[in-house]
Formats: sequence, C-alpha cells, structure tokens
Amino acid sequence: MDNRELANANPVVLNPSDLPTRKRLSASQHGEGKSSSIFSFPTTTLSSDPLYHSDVSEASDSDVESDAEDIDEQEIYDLIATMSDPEHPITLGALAVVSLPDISIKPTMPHRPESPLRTVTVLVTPTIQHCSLATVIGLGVRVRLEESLPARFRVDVRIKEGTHSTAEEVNKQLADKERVAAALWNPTLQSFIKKMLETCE
Amino acid sequence: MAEDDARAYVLAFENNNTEAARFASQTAQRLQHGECKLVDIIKATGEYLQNTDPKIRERATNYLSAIISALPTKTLTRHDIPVLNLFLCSRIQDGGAIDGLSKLQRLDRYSKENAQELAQAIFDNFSDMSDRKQAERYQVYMLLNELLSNHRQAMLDMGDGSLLGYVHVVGGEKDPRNLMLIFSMLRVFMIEWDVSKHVDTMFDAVYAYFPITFRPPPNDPYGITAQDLKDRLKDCLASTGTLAPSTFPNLLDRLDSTSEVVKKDVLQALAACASNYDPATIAQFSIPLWDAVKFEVLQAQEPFLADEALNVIKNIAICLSRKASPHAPEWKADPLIQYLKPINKECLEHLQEPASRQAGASGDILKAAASATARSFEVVIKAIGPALFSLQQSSEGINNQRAILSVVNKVFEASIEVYGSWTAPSEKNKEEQPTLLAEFKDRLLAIYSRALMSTVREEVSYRLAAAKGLLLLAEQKHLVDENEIGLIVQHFNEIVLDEESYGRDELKQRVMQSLAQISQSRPRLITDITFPKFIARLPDDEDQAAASKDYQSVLEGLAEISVGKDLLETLIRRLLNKLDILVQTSGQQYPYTCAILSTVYYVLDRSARDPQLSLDSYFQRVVVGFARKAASASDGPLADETVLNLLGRTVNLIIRRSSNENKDEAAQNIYNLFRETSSNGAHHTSLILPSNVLILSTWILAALPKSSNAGILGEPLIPLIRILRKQADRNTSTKYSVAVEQACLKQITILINKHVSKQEDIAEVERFFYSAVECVSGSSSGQAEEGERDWHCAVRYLFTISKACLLRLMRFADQILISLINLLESLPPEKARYLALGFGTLLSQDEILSKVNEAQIRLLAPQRVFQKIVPMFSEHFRDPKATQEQKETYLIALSGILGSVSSDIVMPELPTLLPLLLQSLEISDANQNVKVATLETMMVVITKNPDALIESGHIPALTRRLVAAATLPKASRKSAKASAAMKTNKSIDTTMTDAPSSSVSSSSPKTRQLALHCLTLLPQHVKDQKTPNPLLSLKREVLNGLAICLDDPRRDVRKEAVDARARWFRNVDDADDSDEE
Repeated sequence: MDNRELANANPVVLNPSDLPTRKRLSASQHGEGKSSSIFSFPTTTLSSDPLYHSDVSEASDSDVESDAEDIDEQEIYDLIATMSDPEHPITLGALAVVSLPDISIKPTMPHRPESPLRTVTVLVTPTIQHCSLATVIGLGVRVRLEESLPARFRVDVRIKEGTHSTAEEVNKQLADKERVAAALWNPTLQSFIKKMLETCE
Repeated sequence: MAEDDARAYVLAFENNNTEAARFASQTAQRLQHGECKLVDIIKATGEYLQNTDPKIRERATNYLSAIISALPTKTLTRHDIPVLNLFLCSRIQDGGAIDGLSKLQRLDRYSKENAQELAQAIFDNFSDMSDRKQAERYQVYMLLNELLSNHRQAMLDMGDGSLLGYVHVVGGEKDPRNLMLIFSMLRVFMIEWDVSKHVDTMFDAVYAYFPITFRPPPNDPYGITAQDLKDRLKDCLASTGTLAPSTFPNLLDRLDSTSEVVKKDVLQALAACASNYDPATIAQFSIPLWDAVKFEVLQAQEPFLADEALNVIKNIAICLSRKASPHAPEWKADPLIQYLKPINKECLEHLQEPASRQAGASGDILKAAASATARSFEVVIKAIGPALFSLQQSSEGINNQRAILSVVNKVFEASIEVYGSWTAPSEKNKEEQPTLLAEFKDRLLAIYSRALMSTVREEVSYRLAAAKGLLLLAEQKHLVDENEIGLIVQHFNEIVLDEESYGRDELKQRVMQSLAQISQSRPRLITDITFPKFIARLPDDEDQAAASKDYQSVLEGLAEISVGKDLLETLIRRLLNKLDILVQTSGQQYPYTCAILSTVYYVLDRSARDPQLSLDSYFQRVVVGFARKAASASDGPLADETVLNLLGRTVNLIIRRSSNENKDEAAQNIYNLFRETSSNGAHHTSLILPSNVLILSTWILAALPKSSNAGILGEPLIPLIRILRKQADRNTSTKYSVAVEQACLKQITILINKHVSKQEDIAEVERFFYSAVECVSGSSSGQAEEGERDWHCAVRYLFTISKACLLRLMRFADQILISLINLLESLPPEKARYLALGFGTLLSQDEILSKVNEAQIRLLAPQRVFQKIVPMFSEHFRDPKATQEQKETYLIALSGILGSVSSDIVMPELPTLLPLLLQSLEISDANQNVKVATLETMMVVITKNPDALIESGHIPALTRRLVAAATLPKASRKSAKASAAMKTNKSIDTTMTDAPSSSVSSSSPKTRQLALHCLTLLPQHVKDQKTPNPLLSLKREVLNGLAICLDDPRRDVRKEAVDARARWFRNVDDADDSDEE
C-alpha cells in the first residue's frame, strides 16, 4: 500500500469468542441453550410425506404474536460489529470500537407509549484519542444503520465521552444531516465506507 | 518421372491437399526404394524453387518438406541432410521451410553443425517478427524449442551466440501461447548457460513481463490462464541466483503497488527465489527482504497477502539453514543467525503489548521462522522462549494473557512441524531429536493447566487458547508422557461433564473434539479415564433421565470418543445392556430410550462407512434379541412407534451388513420376528399382529437383498400384496393407526419395486394400478368421514404403487403419469388438491426405498418422469378452459416434483417452467409448500443459470413477485395473532375461493426469508456484460420494498432483508462501474 502511516498502526484486538452474541443472551435468559444434536434425523418416515400432513396446520411456521422478535440492542450490535475498521481488516467489534453496553434503544416520544418511533443511540469508541478516522467510522456506522433499520428508527451516532480529543467537533458533524449527506457524495469517503461494509454478511 | 510428381504436387496443392500429400508420399516411397535420388528430386523441383512467384516457391518448398516427413528416419544419408539443410536454411523465409526444417532436425543423422547452421539462420532471418502472424511466430519458437531440447550440446557450444540469438528473436512477444514456450526456453538458458555476463539482458528479457496482467478471453479455446503464465515467469525469475542483484530490488519496488494481485505475484516470486537461489546469494539480501516483507504481515490488509509474506520469511530461513555448515568459512557469522536476529528482536518488541494487533502478527512471523528447520527453531526459541515466560508473568489482564498463550501456541505448532507429532514424524527431523520445548515442559504444563482450570468460565477465549495449547503439547513427539496426557484428559473430562453450559459452549465443543483426537492416537487413555466417567453419567431409567436432561451431551460425547474398534464394541455393549433394562419399563414417552437407540445407530452407521466391515456379531444380540422382545410386547417402549422405528433402522443396518445365512434367517422371520413358539402351520398373515410390529417387519423386509428367496419371498408375492392392501384398508375401517397403514404400504412398495419380477406378476401389478385409479376416480360418496378417509387411503395406495413402478421404470411408466394427470384434471377441486400433494412423493427421498436397501432406482427415472410431466402440466396450464383452481392444483403438483429432483434435471426444462414458477409465486394459498418449493428452485436458477433468466426477460416480473412474497402485509403485521387463529381453521378451500387472486396473501416466515434470499442472490449473479444491468431500473423499487421488510416481526427475516438491501445498494451498478476492480 502507498500510505504506511496509519492513524493507529497497532490497535488492541479482542478475540471473537469474547464478543457478545445472540445465543449467549438467550442462554442466560432461558436457562440452557439447546445444543444441536449430532444424531438428528427424522424419527419416523411419516414426517416427510405430504399425504399424511395435508390437513395439519403449519403452526410451527406461522406468525404467532408470541414469536415476534423486537429489534433489540444485540441486533443493532450484530449489524455494526461485523463492519471492518477502515485501516485494518479487523471488525469494529473485535477492536471494541462498538460495544453492546454502548448501544441503547429508546422510544422517540416517551410521552406517547403507543408510538412505534424509536431512537437508537450508538456510542463509538475510537481506538486512540486522536484517531483521525473517527468521523469516517461514525459515518459508516450511521450509513449501515440507516440502510438496515426500518424507517421508524431514528439513528444517533456519537463519539463516546472522553474517548476522543475532538469528540465535540466530530459529534457535530455526525449529527448534521446536511453535512452527512454532503460527505456521502465524496468519492474518497464512499470508497472508505464501501470497504467497511464489505465484511457485513 | 520426378518432374511429373513435382508438377502434380504443385498443381494439386491449391485445390486438393490430400491429393497433394499422396504425390509427396509417392515420391518419398520411390526415394526410399532407391528408384530415384534426392538430387533428381531437387533438380526436378528446381524450376519451381527458382520461380519468382513466392507462392509457387512456397509450394515447392512444401513439397520437399512433405517428402521429408513421409520418409523413415534413416533413409536420408549423411550427405543428403546437409544439402537439404543448407538449401532450406537459405529459403527459411519461404513458407514451408520452417516446417521442413523442424522435420529434418528430428532425424537421427542431423548433426551438431547442421543444428548450429539452422540456429544461426533463424537468428539472422527472424530478428524482427512483429509483422508476422501469431501462428508463424509460434512455429519459429517451436523450432527453437526443439533445437534446444534435441540439440542442447550444439546450442551450448555456440555459447553467447545462441543465448543472445534466442533472446533477440523472442523479444517483444506478447501472445500468451508463445510466451508459455518462451519462458520455458529462457529458463533453460538461465540454468545451463553462464549468464553472468548478460545479467541485464536476461533479466530484462524476463522481467519485462512482470507483473502479468493477462486476462484470458471468455471461452478461451487454448485454456491458458494468467496463473499458468505467472508460474512459468516465476520459475524463470527464480531459476538462477545470478540475477538476484536485479531481481530483488525490482521486485521489492513492486511490493509498493496498490494492486493486491501484483503484491501477491511479487510475494510468490520472492518466495520462489528464496527457495531456489543459493544461500550465499540469499544471505546478501535477507535483511532488506525481511525489512520490506514484514509490513505485509504487521500491517496486513488482506490475510492472503500476509500468508504469502510469511511464506517468504520461512523460505529464506529454510534456504539459509541449508548451507550454514563449517564448509563455508568465508562467512564471518552464520547467515541464519544474522537473518533471524532482527526478526526476533522486532517481534519481541511488538510482543510487549501482547493483545495488540502487531503482537498477533509477530506470533505468526515467529511461527513461520521457527517452523523452517530444526536449526531455525533452535535460534528462535533460544531468543524468545525465556522472554515469553517473563512476559507471561508480568502482563496483566486476561486479554493480554490470552494473547500470550496464542503466540506460544503458534510456537507449539512450529515445533510439531519441525520435530514431528505423536502420529507422524517430520521430514525436517530425520534424526528424531526431541523438541527443544522439553526444557520448558513442566512450566508450560503448569501454566496451561492453571489457565484452563482456574479461570472463571466467562473467559471463553482464554480457556480456549489454553485447551488448544494443552492438546498441542500432548501432540508433540517425545515430549509429554502418558501420565501427563492423562492429566490433560482429566481436565478435559471435567470440563465436559462437570461444568455448566455457558454461551455457545465453544469450550465444551473444543474439548470434546480434543478428546476424540486423543482417542485416535492414545485410545488406552480414553478407555481408562474418560470412558468410565462418561458411562457413569448415564441415567438408569427414563425418570432419572427426565431429571438430569444432559444425557444427550454425554451420549454424544461417548459416540465421538469411541472411534477405535475396542472402544466402539465396549460402548455398544454397555448401551445395549442399558436398553435391555429400559425396554422392560413402561411409561408414556421414551426420549431416553430413543436417545440410546439413536446413539447405537449413529455409532454403527459411522463404523459401517468402512465397506468391509460386517456387523454379524450384532445379529443375535440386536436383531434376534430385540425383535423377539418386540414381538411379545403389548405396551412399554417396544410398542412405541418412535422407538420401533429407531430399532427398525438399526436392525435394517445390521441385516444389510450380515452374512447370507443371517439374511436368510431374517427373511424367514419377517413376520414371525424370531418368536420361539414358531407356529409353523399358521400362515404368515395371521402373524401380522400386533400391528405395531409391522413397523419392524418393514425395516427387515427393506434390508433383504433383491435376490433373496427365503421365507415368504420364495412364495407367490401377489397374494401377499393383496393381504397387505386389505390390512391397510381394514385398518382404516376399524381402529385407525397411521403407523400400520404406512407400514403396509411401505411393504407393498418394497415388494413391487424390488421383488416382483415375473411377467405375469408385473401384469398383475399393472391391473392393481388401474383398479387403484378407478377406486380414486370412482364417485364413492365422499361425504361421510369414513368414506373420505377410505378415499384418502386409496390415494396413498395409488401413489405407493406408482412410485414403486416409476422408480424401476416399468414398461407402463408413461401410462402411470398420464393417468395421474388425467385424474388431477377430472376430480373435483377439493379432491384434486389432495391428489396433487401426492406428486411430491413420487421422486422424493425415501429411507425404505433407497439405494442402500438395493431398491431398483433407475438412473434415468427422475429425468424421465420430469421430462414427461412438465410439458403436460404446461399444456394443461395454458388450456383456456382451465379454471384458476385447476391451475393452482397443477402448481401444487409441480412444486412437489420440483422439491424432489436435482437441479441438473430442472435446468433444461427452464424455458417451459419459468412462466409456471412465476405463477406459483402468486398463488393465493395458505399452504406455503408451493411457494417454498418454487423459491428453492428459483434460488438454484439464479445461482446456476442466471443467463437463462436474463434471456427470458422475466427478471422484472420475478423481482416484483419476490418483493411481494417477502413482504408481510400491514394488516397481518399488526394482527399476526388473528391471522394465526384464522389459519388453524384449516378451511383451505374456502379461503381459496373467497379470496380473489389479487389480494395479498400472507407469506410464512420461511417463504419471506427465501424470497429475500433470492433477492440477495440476484445482484450477485445477474450481470450481463453486453446490455446494461437489467436490475438497475428496478433498484429504487426494490430498495423501497425492502425497507418495509426491515420491520418484519421475525429476526431471521430481517437479517435476510438487511443483506438483500445492502447488496442492492452497492452491487447494482452499471456494468462498467463494477469492472474497476
């Protein structure tokens, strides 16, 4: 590469096994998680025969309300933790740039409980105090969330307090819709963000 | 006479090649038999050879060439050859001369002088070939190449003359086919000629092509890939160390390229040079190489580039280890040590912050360097070993500790590579020296054991690293003794058995795999330590099992570690003993019994992958023993359908893998089930009770070979089929049991498919089929519930026969399909729908009627059925008289077939199918199977055959339907509960008729997910080179549609929607945009 001067050439990396995941959460909620059995095959030949199942309703595969799964913090985390850092081929999760406790979802209008509007707040922790790419990372997170969340979600991305030397300035940029929109027309930024999003699958 | 031939040839050449060739061989024969002399021929040809018209001259030269090639190798004399050679060399620019010369130089009597003369002629005449065609140039290079391989000494004797001549002739070539040849010739010069005086010339001749940017055209007939060229070029560059002063600086310059592909080529070339150049050369460059290449690891942008860079580092170490012997006194210091010193130093610096990214990369570098040779391992371990220990003591925080263990694990891996593992010795350690880790063994074991066993379970990755390290220590050759491995095994046991489940249970899984690995090379330890511990954890009965619940993981563990023969037999014996007790209990449900049976089956099935293995030893114990018990059981586990099916599966496997005597005995006992009070007199039909036992009989019958003649299989089969049919029917009218009916029908399929062979029996089966058709089409009043049930049973019977006949492609197979489709058309809608479902069974996977059970499944059966049936559907579908209901019925039937055939069969019918598939996506049906089958087919179509989609012009229609299928309508999003309640009313027909087809039908989560997945796949695969991207015009619409799916109540669906949307955002561009990478 032509530019070997990175903002932070040597960040601390976490192991993927230590990052929060959906299964771990559900395991702590419901006691034990069901392990997938190595002996899984249908116990009877009946189960695959449509002629014996024609009149059985597909209860297991329908939208019963109790199955509804709301968008929660973990889901937001999963959306952005797999993005990669613009400098390293390492995910934002492994670099602890985003972390589960720094994500919150709140009703946008708390005085109207029936309103479906929600505000997602994500606090970004740059790997070093003076990271010049903090804005790009914040912008990338913003883009990812705006693409991936339904319209009723308002996205608020900020630099976590006390983790960056020019946090205030960066936050202003990130909160300014017009500046964000203008920034996204910048081809350099576009390619940065495209690169960050490549690992999200 | 000679004149005649020459004239004839020249005249014929234009119009009739074969005729011309005949004249030439005629002349050759005469020459061979001494009827004429070469001089005469040349004289005769002289007139044409001197002609001013180059075309005529070419024909004359061709004539000579043709004669040469038609001659046996020894005919031309030592005098003839120089004459011809000289003559052809002087005419070398004329067409045909090269051809003749290449024939000539293959002759045995072609001398060194001739070869040199020829080479010189080529050098003089072909110094500039830029205006010649590729094929002409290729011919010249071929001749040069042959000279090089047939007359190597002659070329070598020319010295610089040949070297410079060759280089000059081949310079400026661009065609990949020619380059392949040129690179291999240049390599010969590099290796066998003294190139020291021509370093620049040679280097320029090769390096001019670096990096290769060739991209083969689509459908390239020559099949030369960029990689082929790269490999040849790389071999050239790496062929001699003399070039090193030019190669290395130039390659290192290229390492700064922004293209990943170029970087990869550079690194691969460097690695090749490092392994081929001599150590003295590499020693001069080792430090600058390290300084440049290290960035590719420490600041890696792409893992694959880091791997290539590590390979360079390793190859340099291997090279420098080679010659660091006392015979090289000219070196002041050992070049290997000089090379490794800065590496060790820099890595240690990075390791001071163990959790940092570069510390991890340093671990990789140290592994690469240490794994090169035993000597380099020694240098590395002496430099960093003690430092790692003090680092481990001084570092704080689990994350740092984990990182240190990971680095040390890499050293362990290097040690295995160098010194060998417990199962395999290493090539690099022929003297079988013990690993240098021995010095640190006790400390390492202590640190790792503590890390694994004295850390809270939340620290998953730390403990994972510790577990990995312990296994790596155990795997070292001659390092840890049995007792120490035993200790490790105990730690692992404890984790699997005593620790509570946490998170994704990564540690438990890793440790379990490690135990299985240890079991393969140290079975005794597992037998002594792990096995008893696990067995002791198994509950005694269902009640205990219900309380403990974790028996499943214990059984899985047992199955995984029992890989050796002894352990396997012990395990099965213990499990069968447990079963003996369990089958005597009674209760409602038997999950534990089932789990044990599943384990027995799983383990037996796994060992049966060895085709030699016989399971005879289990015949008495399992087949006879448990069948007999089942025969007399009226309640308890052995009367339970699930248990019986599992037992049947096991019995089936054992019989298949038993001797013929045992198979015969099983055949005698299909219905008798080895009962001791064998009622010889009674006909077997009276034994078809207790009815649940039929399940077991089915599995036994299925296991018997086609050729079996024992027991009832030796008797007439038609009456038996009749009895079974009656049994299935009678069962309907009295106490209904699905299991009994299914068992009867399955047995009928087996008998018809495998055992019916006589012509008159086949005719009888045909009659069975038609009476079944009549029975289904008959207007038997379907009002009463009992009547309806009878009718359903008749349909199932009809498909049972159909399937058995179709799979073996009986002669009336086509009639079967026609009759079934006619039925579909003629029955009232409600009944037709049920019938349509049956089509899904025709080709579906079947555990009973399967290949392993030796069912007669003709290879072409699925294809034949599919090709017959699809046009019929399509025709009926387009029939203007067809009602909407009928169309839907066809789609249901079609989807059943689609779901059970492989995509290879579907693809050729795609043009017919696509319109039908699109219709299926619109079907307003509560039954989602149709959509699911359609979407699954669409997924295959999109991935494997996107061109067909593009050509069909259906992309917009498909995309819109996919978006519709993926979207949950607003109403049902709000009141999902209400719609669920509505569905349970199972009034399929009323919803069908009431709902107009335009109304939005709500899709099930699975349908939505699949539809979204199809949408994700589209941008990836649908890319047309010629026309603008057909998806581009749909982009906005799709993105808007997907925005709604982002709010789906199901998380999995949302995930798929997010992925699809991301793809459409970024991957749907104009074709030229996406080309930039």
